[in-house]
Amino acid sequence: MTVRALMVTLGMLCSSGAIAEEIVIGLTDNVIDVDADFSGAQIVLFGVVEGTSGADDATNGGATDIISVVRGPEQSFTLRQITKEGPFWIPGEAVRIENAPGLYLTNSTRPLSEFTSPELRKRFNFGTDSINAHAVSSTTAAAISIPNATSNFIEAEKKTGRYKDTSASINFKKNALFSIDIDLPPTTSVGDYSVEVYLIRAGKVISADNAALSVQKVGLERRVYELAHNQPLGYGIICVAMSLVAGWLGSIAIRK
Amino acid sequence: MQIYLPIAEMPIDPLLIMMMGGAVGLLSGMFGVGGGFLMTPLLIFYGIPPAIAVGTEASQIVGSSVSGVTAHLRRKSVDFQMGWFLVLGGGFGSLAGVFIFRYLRSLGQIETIIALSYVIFLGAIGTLMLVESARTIFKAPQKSIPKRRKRRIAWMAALPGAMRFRRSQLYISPIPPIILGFLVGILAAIMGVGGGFIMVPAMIYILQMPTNVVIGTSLFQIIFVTAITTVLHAVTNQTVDIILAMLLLAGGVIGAQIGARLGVKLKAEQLRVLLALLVLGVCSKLVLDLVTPPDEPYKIEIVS
Repeated sequence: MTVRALMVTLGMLCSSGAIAEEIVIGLTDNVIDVDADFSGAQIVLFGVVEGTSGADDATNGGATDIISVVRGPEQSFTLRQITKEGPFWIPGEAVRIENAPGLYLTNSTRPLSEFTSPELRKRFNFGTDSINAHAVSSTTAAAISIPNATSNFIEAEKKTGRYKDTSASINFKKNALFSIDIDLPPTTSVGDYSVEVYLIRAGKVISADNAALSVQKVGLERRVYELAHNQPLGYGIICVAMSLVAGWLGSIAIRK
Repeated sequence: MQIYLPIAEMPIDPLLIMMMGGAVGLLSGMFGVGGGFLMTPLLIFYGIPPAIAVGTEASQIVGSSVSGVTAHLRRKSVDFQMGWFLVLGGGFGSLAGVFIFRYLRSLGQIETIIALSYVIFLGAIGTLMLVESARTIFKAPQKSIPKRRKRRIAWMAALPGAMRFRRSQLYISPIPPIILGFLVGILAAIMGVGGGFIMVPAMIYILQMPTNVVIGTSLFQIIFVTAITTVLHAVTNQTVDIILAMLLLAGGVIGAQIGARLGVKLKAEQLRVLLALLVLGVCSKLVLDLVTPPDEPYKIEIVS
């Protein structure tokens, strides 16, 4: 669907005159292709708040805020603290972090703490600090070495850009239409993502909508990756064969 | 321009990678070294995960060794009999190395071990080369050093299964070459090198092979051992990135061609000093990275 078509559709929804406030969203792309020139991607989320004339419609009782949450496929991670052993800095024992999202990005009208209570953030997992992840220590030594494993994990993931809260990043247009530019970092992994958008007023969630996003390898990238993981022996032999041919061609070039 | 690597799962600059392959290829051509011991650390400095740098380098070395061995085949300076025994040991060494690699990776220590192995080997070889070439440069050419008579290597002939290696003019048991191949195979699998820098001196000083067959035989066995290592890494660790390997080979082939021509024109001793300094430079950078407090105090890995 083109951007223009999406805007028109949303505009029609907007003018249909519903009384209850409702948020409706759509993505310009539901599928992100990871191909040879993938270096991160930007997706644009369009939405409309129905039953209101604007984002901060005073008649409806104060400011309306919007938050979008992009959540990546859940994975298990290991977290190791790099500590000094003799003269060297080396990773220590691992703490396992279970069921953490591979990617977690929020965009909101204002900083989250300005319009949400800690309870609300916890209940809806709003913001990187409310990410649900469980730390499991393989040994007691590891448990002692990293006491706040979950929060340290979240801090480390924030630095990679895979966990991020961005405020004041929602662009309002006419008629309660809005758009959000969401940047997916180059390290975004393949899998199914969820995109959720919440309408919040006076500290309460009034309405929500969601969309699915899928990140997948395509073309040569996909074929190489699948071969390497599904047919590792065949892949290894192909690698050797290709290197042999490349080297042999090289030797012909050198001889000339 | 950027290319996304399917196995490393990161975007890279293909021109820069090809230039790195070319620069190392240039050195290979000039000095007749394999280049794996420089390429793997360079890839790690670039930001390629060390495990992928090692697996991919094994694949690249297959190609560059094939390039190198053809000239030796024409000159018949390959001892196939010796080569096959080295491959026999090397295959098992590579198998052991890949399992050690896998175990260290599960402990999260593979990066440290790769870096430390490089520090030890690059440090030792760089220093030896520097001392050796400084000696040749500063000492006046000596009046014909009396040629050391080849000692009889009785202990190797006394081991079981002694046989004649006609091309190397040796009568020894195949056990020492098998053990040598095994040890170098372990190194090859863990460090992503061909191991020529260990194999060549060991063939000369331990096995007492004549120098004219050493390089060819070493390259011959490296092809097979790195081929086995590539397949084993692909199967056990899924760390071979074929796109990266091809980019490196493309650059390397061109570099080696230029290097071989340059090498003839330039003075060998001064060049060796440069190579020694380069090796020590890479070694120092690895040491620096190990002793500097990391920017990021935590290391995260996805459990697959």
